[in-house]
Amino acid sequence: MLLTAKSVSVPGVRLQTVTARIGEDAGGGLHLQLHAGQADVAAMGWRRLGLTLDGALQNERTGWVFDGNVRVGGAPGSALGNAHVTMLVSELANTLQVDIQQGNAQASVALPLDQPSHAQISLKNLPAGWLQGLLSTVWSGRPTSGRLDAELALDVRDTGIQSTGQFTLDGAGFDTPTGTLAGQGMNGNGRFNIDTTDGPAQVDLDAILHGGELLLGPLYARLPDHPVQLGLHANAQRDAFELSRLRINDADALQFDGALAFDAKGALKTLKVDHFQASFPAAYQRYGNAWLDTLGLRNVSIDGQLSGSLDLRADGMHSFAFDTNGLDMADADGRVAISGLRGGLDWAAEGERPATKLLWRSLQFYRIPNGAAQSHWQSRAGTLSLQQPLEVPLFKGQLRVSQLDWRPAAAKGQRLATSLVLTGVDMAAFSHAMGWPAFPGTLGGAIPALRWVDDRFELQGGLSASLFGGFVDITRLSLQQPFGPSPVLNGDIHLQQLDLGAITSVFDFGSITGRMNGSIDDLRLVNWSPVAFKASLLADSGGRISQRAVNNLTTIGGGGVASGLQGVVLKWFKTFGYKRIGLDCTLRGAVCQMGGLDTGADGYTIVEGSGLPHLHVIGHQTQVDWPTLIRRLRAAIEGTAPVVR
Amino acid sequence: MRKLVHVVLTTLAVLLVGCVTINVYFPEAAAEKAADQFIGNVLGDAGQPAPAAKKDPKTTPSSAGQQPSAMLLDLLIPAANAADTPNIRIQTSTTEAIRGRMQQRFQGALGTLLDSGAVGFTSDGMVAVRDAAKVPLSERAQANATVADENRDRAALYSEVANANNHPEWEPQIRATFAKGWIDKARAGWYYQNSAGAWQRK
Repeated sequence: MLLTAKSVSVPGVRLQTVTARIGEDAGGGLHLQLHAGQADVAAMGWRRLGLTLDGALQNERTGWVFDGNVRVGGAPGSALGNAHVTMLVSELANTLQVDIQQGNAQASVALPLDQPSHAQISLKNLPAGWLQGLLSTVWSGRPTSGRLDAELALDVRDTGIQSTGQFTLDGAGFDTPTGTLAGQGMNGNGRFNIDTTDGPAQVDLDAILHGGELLLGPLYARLPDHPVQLGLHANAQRDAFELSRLRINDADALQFDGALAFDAKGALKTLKVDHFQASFPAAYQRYGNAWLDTLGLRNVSIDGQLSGSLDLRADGMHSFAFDTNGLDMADADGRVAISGLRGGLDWAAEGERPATKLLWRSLQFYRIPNGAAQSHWQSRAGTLSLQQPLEVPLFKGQLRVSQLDWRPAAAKGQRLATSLVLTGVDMAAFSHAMGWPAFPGTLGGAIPALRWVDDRFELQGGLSASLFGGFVDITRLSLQQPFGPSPVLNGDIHLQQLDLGAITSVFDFGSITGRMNGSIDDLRLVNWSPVAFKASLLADSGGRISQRAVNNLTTIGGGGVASGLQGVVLKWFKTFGYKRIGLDCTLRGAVCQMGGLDTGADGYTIVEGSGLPHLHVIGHQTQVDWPTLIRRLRAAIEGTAPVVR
Repeated sequence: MRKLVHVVLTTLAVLLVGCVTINVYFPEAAAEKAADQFIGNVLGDAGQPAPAAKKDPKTTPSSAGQQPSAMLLDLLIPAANAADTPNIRIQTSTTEAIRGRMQQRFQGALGTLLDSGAVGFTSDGMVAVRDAAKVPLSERAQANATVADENRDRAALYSEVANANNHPEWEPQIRATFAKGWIDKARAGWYYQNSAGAWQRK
């Protein structure tokens, strides 16, 4: 008997160009062959698949039994490519029972005959890839690996599906087209509830996971082998993805209660954390590492506990708070280190927040260690203010922050208002920390205001150091990306009445007496080394320059002059008198444009001598290679002769 | 008479326009050359690693008759070989440090990401992840960090070159010049973004 039909529809399933052949087989039973050119199973996301059923049909006491094979061509994950299927239609019990087995994957479906849109499904060892079609109906993501056991109820409606049940995952993975949300090797079990009938898919999930990796935008988690509780409520609408409830409980590392949303590009759109508690270093190793890496903070060593909350929306930060009872942190590059941090901050864009206290045992920026300090804070109407002046010990002196207002949500350029006073900083200790020769002196100054625009801090006012019996004034200071890979420092330096004798003794370069004035304008340090400045140094009150200074210059040059008549003449004198010394250097790129007291066609005068023997130093080269100059100067100071090529 | 008025007016107009156009001058050809040199250096296939100012200066002892101290100073301060430097500077200690880091990245993680097509050159002189799915999950977070590092260095490079030339306002032009340079010098198989923002394979 051959039956053909153009189209056969039951709820959830639609078959087209169907041919069914029923004949008697050798054993006296019936043999059924059914082929559908196009089978659509909307709930599974299967469209236009070839379907072939081939097997024996028997009428038993319980009802009709079909025992045979099913072959579905082109289903995602090769689902039902060639499976053994048993179907039992029992009018008495009002059920259709389908058992499918392919390899060690098993699926059983039971549905009432009078309501075939409702099914009870049991899955065992089902390849996760089989569900790709099902997932694609609600989300652009797809399962990539793993196996699944589940017991669930499924209702297929015209507008979508509803399903609820429990599941066990074994090595499951998933991925999205943008690759920003993904998981791999995850094991776990839990309960779920999916509803796609009312607009975007709603997913409720409560699970216990152990092992595997999970990528959620910039957040990457390496799940531990012990159980981690995960609870979430997700809205998925094609590419956009929102977790309106997310709860993570990893007992010894992280507790997190919040919500987050990603836009269609997989970028983090909002992040709300109501309650956050982290224990380091475990939390850093498992959850924070990748995110801090993208911020340029690599290999952070962090130890202690931190709890807090955060409300970050598309239009900016709305509130944050944190509290710790002991935290130590240092980044691998030595840019910043905090130890013994205790207390917290509490800020909100609106209203008043409780006052907080934040204190630390030590705080280090680059090579500058700051001592223990205590600060008091309170947030009012979006401004987080220092309640009492903050005093930080710094190189035997003190940095006093008399006022500080931070408005995290304000317009650029108005986020920070502060005034700082620096007193009695010991230059010897400071220069030692910087790895310079020890300058005796003290540094102080006032920064009455500071402007913060983008990544740049502009300091008004200035610093003044009393150094070498004179003064060094630093003004127009600005600092860009202080913790970036290329921090930029700009400023103007003015030198007044510096004692050359003291300077040359520190640098061990021979001795020059007298006083020096000068300026270094438009100084630009990138990564703490100068790339541009306009320096002009002048000693015009007269003095003496030692033979050793001259000798030192000689050795720098490779000893080319110490021989011969001139060398002999030089050795007769311990010092030479001079009237004026002047040197200009304008650095641009790697080239210094040199100048001196007066510039003639033949060169520029650097030292104008007085008395006998009359020393007159004239420079001839106006364009000087800066790295080479520095290398030789450094060698001269350190007392090792460079190799002259 | 009327002709004469026309001529005078036209001349005036030309002069006026002339005055305006002189104001802004970006040495495009020089910038392109400098950018190509830098990029070639980073990608390691230009074979011309020594731009003008970097030559090791030879210290030539001065002739007899010059004062000894002047000779000393000449020895101390070698002349820079700046004669054939283009009129845009690209080499400072900062750009050199950035170049070093970029070079390392291109020989390592970033090169692999570009080869695989996971990352491409954007039309604004940066790099971006174009297909994260090409990277195994465990390396994806690292790839994001590498891209972020590279972009931080690129942003610093463009602003540093503009600053080194005493024209911070040139930054957008320098960025555009570099953007073109990166794409021109991209190896076959690498992806880049065309001006419309679509990814293309070289």
